[in-house]
Amino acid sequence: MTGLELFTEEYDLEPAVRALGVRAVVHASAYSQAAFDAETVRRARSPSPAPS
Amino acid sequence: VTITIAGSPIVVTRDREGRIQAFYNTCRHRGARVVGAECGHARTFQCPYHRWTYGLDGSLLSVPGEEAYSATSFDRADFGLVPVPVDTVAGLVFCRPSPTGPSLREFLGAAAVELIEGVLQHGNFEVFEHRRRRHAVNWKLWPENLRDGYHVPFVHPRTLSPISPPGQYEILGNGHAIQRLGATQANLPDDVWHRLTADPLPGVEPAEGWNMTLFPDTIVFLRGNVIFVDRQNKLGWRETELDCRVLGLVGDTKEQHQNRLQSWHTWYEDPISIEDDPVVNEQQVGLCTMGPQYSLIARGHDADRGYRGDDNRLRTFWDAWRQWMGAAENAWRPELI
Repeated sequence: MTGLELFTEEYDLEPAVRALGVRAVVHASAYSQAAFDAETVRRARSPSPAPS
Repeated sequence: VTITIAGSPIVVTRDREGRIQAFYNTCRHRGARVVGAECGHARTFQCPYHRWTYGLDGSLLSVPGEEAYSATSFDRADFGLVPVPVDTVAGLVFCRPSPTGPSLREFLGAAAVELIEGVLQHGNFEVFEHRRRRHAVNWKLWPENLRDGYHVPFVHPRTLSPISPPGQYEILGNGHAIQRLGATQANLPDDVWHRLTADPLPGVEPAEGWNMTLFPDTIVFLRGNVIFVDRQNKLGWRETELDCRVLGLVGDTKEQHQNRLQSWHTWYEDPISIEDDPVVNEQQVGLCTMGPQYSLIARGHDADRGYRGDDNRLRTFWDAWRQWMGAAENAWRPELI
């Protein structure tokens, strides 16, 4: 999971919002500290690819 | 010139032959920022910490007490400033911190390049004003705001709305778009209208204009008598700097600068600082919540062009985010968020 999916698929959106489609919604975490936290968790759980 | 891109300090140089290069503005010794000045002229760059000195081409020229490295394999040739890929379009300099990716012209696309060159190649331009303003919001809220025409009649009812009737936007690909604007005199005093249209740029109609939004963080604004380039520079997850350079013609008089600045104030500085800033700040406050966890960008159809009240340009911004920032090599870089 990368990029935008980070902000949408991992979270429970109410059905009316989710029904609009992934491209019609930006999750609030895209603008928040939560995005950093999510990345930190992801790094901890997965082997990190070598930085390019 | 020193800039920051995605948190990385970068220095851009132009040597006597006019060759433009960019480097990470980070000393190869202990990591201090080498060049602190915003812009200027220099023959060398010297780190303020231990005086390592670099040439304009990034090469490491001298190291005080270099003999102390004699017991190691240290070679100055291995420790020049790290280059950043750089390219130009009609004098605008673009850096690409990622070592891989498309060329600048591939990334911008032929239509965007043609529009920029079509204006800038008509004259000899220079930056005559540089303003920076910090906002306590996530940087992505500003590219969104500047692609959102829906708010204009509500947030700018007496400023932008009367002089900029809804124009068509065009999607240019890779997250880029252009919105064309035709200025009108309605509700403007004659003297203000005169300053907005005085001294038109060569090849540009006095009331002509467009906003070219370039993914992710740059917008080129053309108005009849001024061009300005704004970057929505991320400093922290909730700290953004709007970095705006205003372009006029080399040889402009003081009065011509004043006229161009009047346009810049009317079209950009005043509405953004007085009217957009409070609502974007409210958006940041509202989104940091345990309540509604989303922002809707569903207005309008997915089409190559449409009217500014649509959210299509916001969706293409996020499409590009998925394409470029979601790439494997960037998925591990929270500094981009």
